[in-house]
This record gives sequence, C-alpha cells and structure tokens, in this order.
Amino acid sequence: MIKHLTKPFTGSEIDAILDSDVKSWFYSKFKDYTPAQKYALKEIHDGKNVLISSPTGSGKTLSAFLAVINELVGLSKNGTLEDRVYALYISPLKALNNDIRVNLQEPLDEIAALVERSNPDQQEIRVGVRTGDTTVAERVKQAAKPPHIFITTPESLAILLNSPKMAESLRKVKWVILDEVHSLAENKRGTHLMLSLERLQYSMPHELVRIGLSATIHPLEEVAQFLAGTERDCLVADVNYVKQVDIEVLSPVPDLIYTPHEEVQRELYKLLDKLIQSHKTTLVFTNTRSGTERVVYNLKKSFPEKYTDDSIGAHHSSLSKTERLEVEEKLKQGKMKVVVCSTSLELGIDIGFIDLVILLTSPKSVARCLQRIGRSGHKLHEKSKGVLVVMDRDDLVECVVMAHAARQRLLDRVKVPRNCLDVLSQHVIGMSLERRWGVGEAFEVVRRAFPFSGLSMADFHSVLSYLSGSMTGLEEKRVYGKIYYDENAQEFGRRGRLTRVIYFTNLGTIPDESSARVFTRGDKNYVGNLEEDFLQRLKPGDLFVLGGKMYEFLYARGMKVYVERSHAPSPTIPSWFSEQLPLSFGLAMQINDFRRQMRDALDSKTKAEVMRGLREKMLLESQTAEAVYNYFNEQKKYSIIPDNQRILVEVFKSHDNRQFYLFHTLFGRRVNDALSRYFAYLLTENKRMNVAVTISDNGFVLQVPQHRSLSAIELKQMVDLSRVEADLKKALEGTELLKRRFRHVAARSFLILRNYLGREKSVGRQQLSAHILFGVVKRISENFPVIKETFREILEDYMDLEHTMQVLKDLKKGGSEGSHFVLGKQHGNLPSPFAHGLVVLGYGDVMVMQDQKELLRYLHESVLRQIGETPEGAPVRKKDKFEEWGEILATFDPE
Amino acid sequence: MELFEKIDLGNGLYATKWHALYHEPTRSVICSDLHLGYERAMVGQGVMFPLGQFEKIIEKFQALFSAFKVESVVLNGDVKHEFGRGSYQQESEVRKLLGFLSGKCEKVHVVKGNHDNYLKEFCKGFERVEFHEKQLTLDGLLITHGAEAVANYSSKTLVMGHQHPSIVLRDEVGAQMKLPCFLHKKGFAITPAMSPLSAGTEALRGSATGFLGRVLESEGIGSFTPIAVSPDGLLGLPKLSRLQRLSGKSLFFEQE
Repeated sequence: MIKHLTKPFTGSEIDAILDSDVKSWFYSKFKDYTPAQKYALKEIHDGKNVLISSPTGSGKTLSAFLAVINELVGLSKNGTLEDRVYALYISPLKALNNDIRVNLQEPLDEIAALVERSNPDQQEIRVGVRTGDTTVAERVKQAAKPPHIFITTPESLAILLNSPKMAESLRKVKWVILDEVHSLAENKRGTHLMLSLERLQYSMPHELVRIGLSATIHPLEEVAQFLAGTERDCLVADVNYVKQVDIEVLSPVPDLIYTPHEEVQRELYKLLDKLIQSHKTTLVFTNTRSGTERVVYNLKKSFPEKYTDDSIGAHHSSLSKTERLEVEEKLKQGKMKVVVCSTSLELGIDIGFIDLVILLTSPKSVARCLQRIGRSGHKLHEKSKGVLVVMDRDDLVECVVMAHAARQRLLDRVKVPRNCLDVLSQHVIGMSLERRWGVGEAFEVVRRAFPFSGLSMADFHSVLSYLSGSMTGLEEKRVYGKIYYDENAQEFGRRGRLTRVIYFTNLGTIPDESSARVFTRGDKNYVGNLEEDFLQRLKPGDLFVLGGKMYEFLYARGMKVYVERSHAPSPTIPSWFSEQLPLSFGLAMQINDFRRQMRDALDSKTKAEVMRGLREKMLLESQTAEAVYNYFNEQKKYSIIPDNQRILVEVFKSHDNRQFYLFHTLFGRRVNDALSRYFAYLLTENKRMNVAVTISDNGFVLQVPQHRSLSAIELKQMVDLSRVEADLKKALEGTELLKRRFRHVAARSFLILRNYLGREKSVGRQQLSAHILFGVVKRISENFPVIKETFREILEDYMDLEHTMQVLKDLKKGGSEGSHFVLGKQHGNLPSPFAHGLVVLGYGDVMVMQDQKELLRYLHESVLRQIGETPEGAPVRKKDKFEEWGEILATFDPE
Repeated sequence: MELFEKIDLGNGLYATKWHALYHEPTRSVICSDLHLGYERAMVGQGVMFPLGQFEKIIEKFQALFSAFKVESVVLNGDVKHEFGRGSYQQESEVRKLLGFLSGKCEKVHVVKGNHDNYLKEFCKGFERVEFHEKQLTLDGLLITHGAEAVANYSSKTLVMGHQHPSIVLRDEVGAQMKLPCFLHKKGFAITPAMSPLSAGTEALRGSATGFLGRVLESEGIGSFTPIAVSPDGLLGLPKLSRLQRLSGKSLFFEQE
C-alpha cells in the first residue's frame, strides 16, 4: 500500500534515534532538520520504503544517507561492522557518482574524528564507486574488501549481480537508495534497474529498504509503487510545497506578429541580458543543442564586454565530457554569470548558486518546467525563480497555461514503460547464468518489478523460446540459443560458454546512437553529420540545410547518407525539428480547457472584463494579456475557436492543385503522430490514394494528390476502433522510424550483438543487418518478441496510443460528450490564425526561421483584412513587398 | 496494371516471376546471386539471423520446374555468400542444392561469381554439374557473373547478375515501393538476385561495380528497360530514361 506521510516528526524525535556523535556532527553543520528529513529520516531508520519528492537543496540526499551513516557508525563503534555492502546508492548519472562519494566522505571523516575521541578502536566506514570506468585493480580490491556504501549505476549493478563474489557480498545489503527516480521511471534504464533489484531481492533472506529520491513528479503513488515493486508498501514524503516558486511569462516585444525578425532578435538578447545582469547566476534552457549555441554566440556578439568565455558557458550533450565538467565545476564554484544548456542540466548534482532560470520557449511539460525552475534557489527558504520567454503566439498561449498549471502544481503524468520484452530478454539471460530456474518461479520474480506486473505468461514463454533459439529449428539451437530451455520440465538455465561474455559485453538499454555521415552522390564527398533522430524523419526528396548549404536526401545505407546538392529556395525539413520535445498530453488538455474558457468569455464578456480575468486569474501583465486576447479574438471572428471537442478542419489548395487538410488537434505530437499516420493509412486503404503527413503539437496536415479530395465525415466513418492498433502497425511498415527502433530493440534483445567475439559492431552495420533481419523475423511470427516489443515501444513510448484511442473514441461517440470535426468557414483560400503556425510548418517546413516569420505575418495581415480590421501598430506594407514570395504565396491568395 | 508470370525479351528468352530467366531454345533456367550461407555468415558477426533462405530458393526452382520444361539450370555466380570456405551450413546447402537440381534436370552449369571461392570443390562428385571459371556460352547467350570482364560479347546476348538491381516506384507525396528487377535491352539481360534476403536491403543508386558497371555506363543506363518482380508477378515498366524523367530518381542498385 502507498501512504502519504502527513505529519513531520519533531526534532527531538529524530535526535532520539541518532548516535550521539552523529547528532553532534549534524548540529555542528546545520541548525535544524529540513522538512524532507523530518518526514523521512525516522521512517528510513525504522526500515520503511520511502519515496522523497522534494526540490533541490532540501536535504533529501542527506535524509537517506544520515539514517544509513547513523547505523554504520553504531556498528563501527561496537566493532561489528562486517566486510560487506550495507547500502547501495544507484544513480543514472555516472558523473554524479564521484560527487556523491566526495560529499559522503567528508561527513564520514568528520564524524570519525568525533568518534575517535571516545572510541579509538572504531572501524573505518568505506565508500566505493563502481561504474564502467572503474579500473580492474579497483574492482579486485572491491571484491576483496567490499565498500560499506557502494555507489553505482544501473548497468554496473546488473553486471555485479552476475559476478559471483560481488553478488555474494550484495546479498546482505540493507538499503538501496535510488537517485533521480523521476528520470528512471519513464525509460528503459529504470525498467532494467527495477528488474535487477527484484533479482537481488529474491536472492536475499530479508526485505530491502528502498529509498527513492525524486524531483517533483506525478503521480507520486505510481512512482512509489515503481520504487517499491508490486504489492509492497511504500511511504511518500512530498515536500515540494516547501519551495516557493515564482514564474513569469515574458515576451521580448509587445507584438509577436508585426515586429520584424531582426528587431525581435535584438530585443530578445536585450531582455536576456537585462535578466542575467539583474541576477547573480542564471541558467538558461533552450531545449535544443543548436539553440544553445545560438544564444551563447549572440550574447557574446551583442555584449562582448559582458560575456566572455569566463562568464558564459554552453552545456549540451554533443559537447565533450571535459568541456561539460569544466562548465559544471565553474558553475558550482559560482564563477559563471550564465550557463546556457539544451536540456542537459535538468538532472544532476546541486549546481549551486543559481538564482534565476530562464526557459526560452515552452519546456512542453509542467513537470519539466518545475524541475528546471527548481534548479534555482540554492537555499531552501529562497524562492525558485523562473522566467518563460516566448517567441510566437502559440508559444505564448502554451506558456501562459503552463505557468498557471505550474503555480497550481497541476503536473502531467509520467508514463512507466510496461512489459518491455527486450529488457526482459536481457535479464532472463542474466538469470540463466546464475543457476537453473523453474519457469513459474522466475515469472513470479519478474512480475514483482512494477514495470512487469502485467506481464503475461504467454509473453514470458515467447521470450524463453526466442532465447533458446527454437525460432530457427531444433538442430540450430546450438548456434542461436542463449539459454537452455526445457519446455516439458518448464525449466531454463545456462547454455554455452560464450553466453557469459556476450552478456557482459552487450548488457544495457541505451542504444548505440551515432550521427550518420553525409556524402554527396557520385563524387562521394563528405559534407557533414546528421543526428540519427533527424535521419529518422527524412524521406527521399526532402530538402535540408547542413553546414549552411541545402541538400536533397536521396537514400541512406546503414549510417551513410547520400545526398545531392539542391538549389531549391528553401528546405522542407527544418534542422531543429527532431530535437524538439513533444508537448505533454496533460498540458495539451489544459490548453484546450483554456481555449474553451476564452471562447465562453469572448461570447459573454466585454474586452475589459476578459482582460481583467487574464490579469487576475492567469497573472499576466497587461501587454501579455492583450496579446492573448487579440490572438483569440481574431480566431473567433475569422472562424471558430477549436478545442478537443470541436476539432476544426480547414482545407486549402496549393498552386499546383495539391490539397492540404489542416486538423486542429491540440493533443501534443505523440498523439498527433499516431493520429495522423492512422488517418493517412485509412485513406490509402479505403480511398486508394497516397497521403503525406506533417505534424506538430497543435495539429497535423494531410496532403493528398492533385485532383483528389477527402471528406472529414467520411474519414470519421472509416474509423474502426477495434482495428486502430493493427492499422497503425501496418502504417508503420517501411518507415525509417520502425527500422531504427527495431535495431535498438534487436540490440537490447541480443538478436543483434553490438559486441561479439571482441569486435564492436558499428552502428551502420547494426542498422544494415536490422533492415534485412526485420523482414525475415517478421515472417516467422508477428508475435516474435523482438517485433512485438518494437511496435510496443513505438506505439506506447514514442507515440501515445492510449490517448490516441481516447481521442478516436470521443470522435466516434460524437454528441455532447464526444468530439466532432468542424469544417472551418473559408475566406477564400486562407487558413484561420490558429492554423498559421501549422501552415508554416506543414507547407512548409518550407522555410528558415526568418522566412517563417514573414509568412506568418503575411497570413495574419490577410486574415485581418478579411474580418475587416486593420492590424493596429502594423507597419504599412507595400503589396509588392510580397511579390518576391512568388509561388509560395500563390497558395494563400484568395481565389 | 497487369502482372505476368513471364515476359518475352526476344529470341526465346523470358523473364519470369521467380527471379530467373528461361531460355526456350535450350530449355534452360538462368539465375544468379543465391548467396547460400548468408544467415550463418551473419550469425558469425553477432546477428542472430534465422535460417530459411534455402527452402525459399528450392520453392522457386520447384515452381520453375513445373512451369517450364527444363533441361538445364545455370547458376550464374554468387551461389554462396562467404568468400572463404565458410560455414558448414553454407557447404551443406550448396551440396544439397546441386543434388536437388541434378535430380531434376540433365545439366547444371555453375558459373563462378566473386563470392564463389572453393565452390569448384563443392561441385565435385556431381556428375551432371559443370563448373565454369569465367563464362558459359549457350546458344546465342554469353553468360557471365558480371564482376569480371569477358571479351567478344558483341554478337551474343550478354547475361549477367552480380548487382541485384531493384527499382523504387514513388509518387508525388512520397509513397514508395522497392522491388527487385530485371534489366534488359537488345543484346543484354541482367537478372535480379535469387536470394530472397537481398530484396529488403537498403539500395544503392547508380553505383554498379565491376564489369557490369562498365557495361551499364558505356551503354547508358537509361537505355535499359526494367521489369519489376512483385510477389504477384512481373510488372513491365517504361525505359529507365523515361522513368528517370518521371520521378527524378527511381533506379537503385543494391550493392552485393
């Protein structure tokens, strides 16, 4: 059972459980226990599982360790400290582990000095770190004399479990401390770790005490169950309330439509500079690597006297480890004025002196927004301060709703991946290396891990028979089999001598990612690199910019990409696209609510009343409120204000008669990806036409061939709720997305060995093998575990099938409860203001930033003219200004 | 759109939907690029490739034997996959295939391909099997794998394999389909791979290698006509030069 802790213990209650020297040490350092410590310390001391969710600087790490240290000091004084591991600390961040060791060693030394006075015979409490970087010599030392507190990563723990000597020493562990649980719960590293813990637990005579440390996350009950495992109890200490959060939404200019691009840029950097200079240390999140580089570059260029290499730093995952560590170190020491990062500093150690966090454009999820802002306000009583800087009108609305939700702590749900058969395959091999298992017994152990609580016996069997090699015929088992599996006796165990090496050298869940090398066809000139996730989106014929030049994507072979130089006016895929985070479904639904409220308000209230509501309820400045008001008012006058129940569909034609259908489905990209592919599939199947798809967080665009058209009503009729999943799987066939995800899953499942017989296989070779392998394996069975998991991962983790189903059900239901397609009023061939962001993206992706802005402005101006308003404050533009747009604009001209 | 079981290339030579040519005057089946042993070679690299290619290839021969009167079979190179002697699987599958074909027709010609080191040895002991190091002349046909040059082919119809040609059909919104294909023009016929595993490989465009590459270049790739092999039958297509104009980039070659 999961129970929330509602009453903190008093200082004296906690004092009573502490060893006298530990207590004196504590009070020599701190005045009082923090709320996190008051809630959790005694419960941990009493051996309860506890999840502590609290902001940075709230002493949660010490809550966990103080209880541990306290007990170890007691044993050390009695001389009963054994040579074995008492506490395991596991963090997903390898870099964090050394910091933790240092942070632990200091108090341990100080306490030891205090103890020394009365107990000169005390035993030393050892702390050790084990990661992939640990040297063989150190490992040998650790095996001989195990550290009492053992700091490690999920991957290293899995290896330890299969190292007989260390596994033996782990068997008596009392505490497991999981750090950054919020980041583990939502990915396969966490799934993998929880299975490791169940395997460890099963080998022990007593129950582990599990302590989870997490940033703010929702729902805490589910995360607590994730931590504790199925059907175990866990206490939740939610102390996020202690941190006051101050969130503001700012726009660099009052008007996000008519201000010229250069001016917006200039004002943006002025605003950033003003914010940075009025604070001590600022952390800026840009969401993307390219954005990070751009912001650093422009700040240095605009204010060369203020921003130099000593005062500003960039931090993102493409930078080298040394560069990142240097920035982190300077940040900790308070030497940096500002650090700009993509998403990379969301997690990790207490970064110290930050008093302002700037989020440049929406962070796309309320939890992420709070986690980022929570990086500021070093001391507990200090407020966290965050500023959301918006760049366009959709961003503005999103951030306004986000700030409101963050203040109310209306967090979006975290999603734990369930029944991942690739992770399971790895562990089954690991288990088989330990000993012979009964199938039923192993199944029970696996199901105790929360991510596998719903695992079916059928899936477990299919994993066993896959791993035993029976997919390829009995006589070949010797070659393909990784485990011994006796179906009659329902037992499995170890097979072959090689398996152990294969297991150790291939274990882990993080796929080998690399950038693909790009060559021009023909002369085979190397032109640069493309990120794999970007490549995933490309289809032949797409145009993109690399190193300032435009190329047409021809084809990829493994991780080599062949292109041709293009002289087309603009790219079809903006290079930042794949880096963007998807809008969470929860936040999307809150924006839909906001749209509904605005619609009602505009129907029944005066402008002054609506503006007052925005100022008072949403805490907006007048200028921001006005911008929001105008955006909604224009949309309402021109068309309707769509929401999740009234799904606006708009049609427009390109100059060459291609038809574009815009669907205002504000459900976030994970849903829109599935939804749009599903609809496109229905059309290809039922109407025999090919359909191109473009998606964003706010909607999607279907493009159909010349002289074909589609009816939204018909589209709705084609939806067969019982077949959505099956149809989506068919829709995915042949896509780059499927091929690459299959490679990841195949590598995790050991169908493709990344490392074999001492040779590492390049990502390119893995990919090439995966291409051929997919078709062959699929013919064996659709339910082949590697195939099944690939589709599950795409549909449930990468996309959001669950909410897609909900959207489709609502659409089928109709009536007052369900949702509807509403055909938009058409003014000529011009889409409504809410569609402009989508058009710019959909038509194209067409443009580099500056051009997008221009097109947006053009669209907007035309719309205002249609609804009989002149754009206030808009500079008077000569018509011919737009003529250079040539054929692009021909599309949008009224017929 | 009509799909055919066979398409007449002239002079009694037919493309068939089973990835092989049928030569009526000599009652011969001509095919290339079987790549037996591919799966085990992959396993050797750590990719757990299930077996199954051999059975698929046998099925194709069975179909050819029931559709045509066959007196001889020509395996035009790359019968096996691994360059070296290879796995036990490879050797046994090659021998099984030769045994099977010997039982079905009077003569089995094996033309050596660039993968076929040690193949001559595997052919020993089969009375009806004849091994050709370089080429084979059959009536008006000059049959060679295509990796290495042959001379004096101008008066013959040159039959080659080696490159696993395939074609990508694409429409304006970007939907596409990739199929293995025959390529032919007067005096030339190029066969797709008989191996079912090659059809799914990511293709390379316009980079045919070896002798075949030089021939395609000197003849002009656009002057060839592709015949796509779909699972349901052959699809006749316009000349490549016209297809190229149509969609810009439609011809792909697989690199073996």
